[in-house]
Amino acid sequence: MTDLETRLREVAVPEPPLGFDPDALADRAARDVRRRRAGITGTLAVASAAAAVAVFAPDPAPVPPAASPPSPPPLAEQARIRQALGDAVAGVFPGLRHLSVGTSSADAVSPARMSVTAEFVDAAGRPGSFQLTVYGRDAPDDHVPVVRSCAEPASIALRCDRIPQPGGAVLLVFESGVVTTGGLTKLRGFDGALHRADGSMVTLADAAGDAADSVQLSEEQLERVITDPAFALP
Amino acid sequence: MRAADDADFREFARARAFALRRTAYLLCGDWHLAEDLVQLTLIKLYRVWPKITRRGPVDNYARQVLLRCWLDESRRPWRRRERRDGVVPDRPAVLTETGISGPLLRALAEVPPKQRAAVVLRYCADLPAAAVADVLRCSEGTVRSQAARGLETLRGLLEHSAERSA
Repeated sequence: MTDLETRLREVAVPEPPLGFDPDALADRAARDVRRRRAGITGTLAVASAAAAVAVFAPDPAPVPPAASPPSPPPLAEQARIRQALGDAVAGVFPGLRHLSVGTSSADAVSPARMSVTAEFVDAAGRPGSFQLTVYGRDAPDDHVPVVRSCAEPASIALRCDRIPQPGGAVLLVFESGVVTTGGLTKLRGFDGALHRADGSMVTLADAAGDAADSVQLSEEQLERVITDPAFALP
Repeated sequence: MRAADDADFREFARARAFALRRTAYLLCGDWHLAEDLVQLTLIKLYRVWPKITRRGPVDNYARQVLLRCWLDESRRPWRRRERRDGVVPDRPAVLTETGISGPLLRALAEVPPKQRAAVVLRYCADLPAAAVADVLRCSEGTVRSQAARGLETLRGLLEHSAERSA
C-alpha cells in the first residue's frame, strides 16, 4: 500500500453536526409517496371510468380520455405573481418602458411551481429580461433544483454569497459575468436563489442570454426583487 | 409502505446519514451540497425501500444513488456558467479544512469526477474493488484503472501544490 493510499484511508474531515433530521426527512418522503400514489390512483380511476363507459355504453363512439395535462397553479395565483413581478421590476428600474410579464407554460408542471418572465426596455433604451420561478413548499422534489449550497469545485460562478435573511431564510447570490471581445465591455449580473425556512424557494435569473447591451441586475436589485413576500405559492 | 418497512428505513437513515454525508462531501467538497445530496438520496431510497430491502443490504445501492445525484447535480446548467474571456475565476473557498488533510482534500477536489469517485470509494470509504464496481456499475478492472489514474492525478496535484508553496 502506498503512502498516498494510507493518507486517503486516514483522511480526517472535521464533520459539522447534521443539518437535517432523518425522521423529519422520512416523514417528508412518506408524504411525497402518498401524494404520488394519490395522483396515480386518480389517473387510474379516470381511466377505469372511461373503460367502463367504452364497454357498457350503448353508443359505440365514446371519446377516449386524453392524457391529463400538467396542472399549473390556479389562474388567480399566476396573475397575482405576474403582477407582483411587474411591480418589483418597475420598482428597481424606474422609467422602464414596454414591460411585459408572461407565465412560462413549459414550466407549468405542478400547482406548487411556476415561472414568470419579465421583459422590458429600461430608461436608457437597453433591453432586459429576467425569469423568476416560485416553488411552493409542496413542489415535487423532482422539479426543485438543488441549489442550497453556494459552491462546489465544479462551479464556475465568479462569486457566490450566502446571505441569511430575516425569518430563517437564506439567499444565495451567484455573480455571473461576460467580458466581450477586446475587454471593453464588462457585464456583470447576479442570479439568486432564496430558500425560506418553510421549504419554499424562489429563483431569479437573467433571461436575456448573451445580449451584449442587456440590462443586468445589481446585487441590491436582485435582493429587493427576490425577497418580495408576494412570491409564494400555497 | 408497511410500518415495519418505514421503521426500518428510519433506522437506516439515522445510522447512515453521517457516513453518506462524509462520502458526499469527499465527492463534492461542500458540506451544504453534501447534505442536499444525502437528503435527495434518502428520499429516492424511501420510494423503493420495500423492493430494495428484499434484495439484501442496501448500502451499495445507497452509494449508487448518491453518486448519481452528485453527477446529475454537477451537470446542471445552473452550475455551468460560461465565461468568454478565457480567464479562470477564483474558486470559492469551499475546502477550508486545515491540518494534514487540508491539502489532500483540496487536491482531491481537482481530480476528474469518475477518478475521484473511484478514489473516494476505494480508499476513503475503504470498500473492496467489487463493491466499488457495483456502485460505479463497471468492472473491477475499470475500478482499478480509474483508481490508479485518480491516485496518479492526485499525486501530481499534491506535488504541484507543494512546489508552489515551497
